[in-house]
Amino acid sequence: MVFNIQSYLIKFKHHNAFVFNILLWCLIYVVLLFLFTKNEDALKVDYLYTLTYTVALVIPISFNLYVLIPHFLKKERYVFYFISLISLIIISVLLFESFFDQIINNLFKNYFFISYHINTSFAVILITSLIIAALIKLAEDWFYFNQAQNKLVKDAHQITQSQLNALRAQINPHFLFNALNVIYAMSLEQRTDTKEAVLQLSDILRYIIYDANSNKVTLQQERELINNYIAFQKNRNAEDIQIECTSHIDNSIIEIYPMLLLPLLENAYKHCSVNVEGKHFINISINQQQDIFNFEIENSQAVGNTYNDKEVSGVGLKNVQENLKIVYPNKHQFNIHSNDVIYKVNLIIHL
Amino acid sequence: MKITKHFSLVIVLLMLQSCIVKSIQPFYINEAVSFEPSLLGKFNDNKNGTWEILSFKQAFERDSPDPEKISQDDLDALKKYKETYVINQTKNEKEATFLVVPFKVENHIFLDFTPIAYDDSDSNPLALQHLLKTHSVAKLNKQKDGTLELQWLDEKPIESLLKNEQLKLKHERVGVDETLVLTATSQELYQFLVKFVKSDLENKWNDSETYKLTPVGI
Repeated sequence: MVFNIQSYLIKFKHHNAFVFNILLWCLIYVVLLFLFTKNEDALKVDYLYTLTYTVALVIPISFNLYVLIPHFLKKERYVFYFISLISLIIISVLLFESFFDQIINNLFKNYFFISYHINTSFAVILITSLIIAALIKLAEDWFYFNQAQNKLVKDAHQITQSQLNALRAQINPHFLFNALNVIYAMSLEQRTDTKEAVLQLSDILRYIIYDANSNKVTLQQERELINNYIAFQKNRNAEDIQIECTSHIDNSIIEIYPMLLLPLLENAYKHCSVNVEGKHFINISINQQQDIFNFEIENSQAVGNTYNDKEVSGVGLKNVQENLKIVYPNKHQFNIHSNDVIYKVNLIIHL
Repeated sequence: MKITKHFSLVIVLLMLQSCIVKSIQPFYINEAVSFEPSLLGKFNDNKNGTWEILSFKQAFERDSPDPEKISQDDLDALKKYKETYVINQTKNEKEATFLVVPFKVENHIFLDFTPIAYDDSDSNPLALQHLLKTHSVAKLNKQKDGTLELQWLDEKPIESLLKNEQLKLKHERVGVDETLVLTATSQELYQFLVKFVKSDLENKWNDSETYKLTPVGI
């Protein structure tokens, strides 16, 4: 799923141009009223003058906010923006100087708007207002952009979590299905060690249900899970498989995403068979040095017994690969090597 | 108690009488100054007073008849006030001299008056030192028979505009009688006169101090 901030800005667009403009122009009106009355009580003549003056500012400021900023400033065309802005200021000042007094005197014939902008020119007020309005607009845009971005991140996280949960949900029944088949077979044979197998399965399920639901587990926990699983598999008719498990872990409390190794182990057991050399084995190597975790598992296989992750039996491998893409994006290597005698999976994670 | 009574009476009388508008700054801008030689001459007014309107140069020559004694300051003054009248007004044998600048507002002629000398022989010298020579402005109406009518800008329409919150013009209230004194710049005062002339305010000149000057000899 591709997350695009623009689509979020449109989807979660709470920006109300009408409310924004009402607030902006009320603010400018009040500031101008203070400027024109200079701490004196505002009179009718002041309200009318300020109102007309504010209206005179609407066109250049709105043009800057809704034409120049979106078309030039936001598209990083700074030179065009500043040339256009300066042109806008010059044209506005010329128009104001030429027509404002005429217009206001015609609109309010018996009002005398004299001692106002003699000392503070329209150009100064216009430039100040342009800057303030642009800053408010950019701040408002940033607020909504940030809101949309947070929503995007939150949704992306939620969707990723949902994907992980879905993959875990796929692993657990898969493992349980295999394990129950083993216990079922043992019970059919009325083996005395069936109870122990149930207890071992119980330990494994406890890990899957409780520990694996957290985001991270320690390497020590993963190592114990592997030991429990190997012990459980011995209850199957797998006593003849030679198991060799070596580990060199510098830091056993270093954390790793759970349930990445068990499907690989489960896969090795499922497809382990006597090869042409007469060997029947599973070799497991677990290494961790600094932030590099290296897990390698190989099993013997008979000629013509090759499999790949596209087969139904390779669901576990596929899930691991999908999980790795989500939890260790660009931080892992997953390689499969298969020939007539062995099947080997190598997983390297940069923790 | 007696003092308070007299004091209150003076204030009431001052408030009831019509007053010309006083300003710290001149009412004209240099671009609007328009000197008219046709105004020069002697006149009698409708209030038993006499008027003599001179150009600044004429007044200067009368006071300094020796051309060889003209200093640089005098030359500068002649240049500065070349478009200015000096008006001597006499009433009840008391003479006052005004520096008067003519200027145009929307095709109307206005005169900016400021006193430069007056007969103060009966006045208290200390009180005189408290008086400020301000500017006033009068509209000039030239009649076909040569009569000049001067109508001073009066406080009443200005006070009315201020009371109705229709006017924004820098001003102060000074003294115990709260006399209105305009403190706006000449640019602002001229801008005000332009609007005042164009406005359709009722009775804007009705309460004005008015003098009708008839040329001597008519």
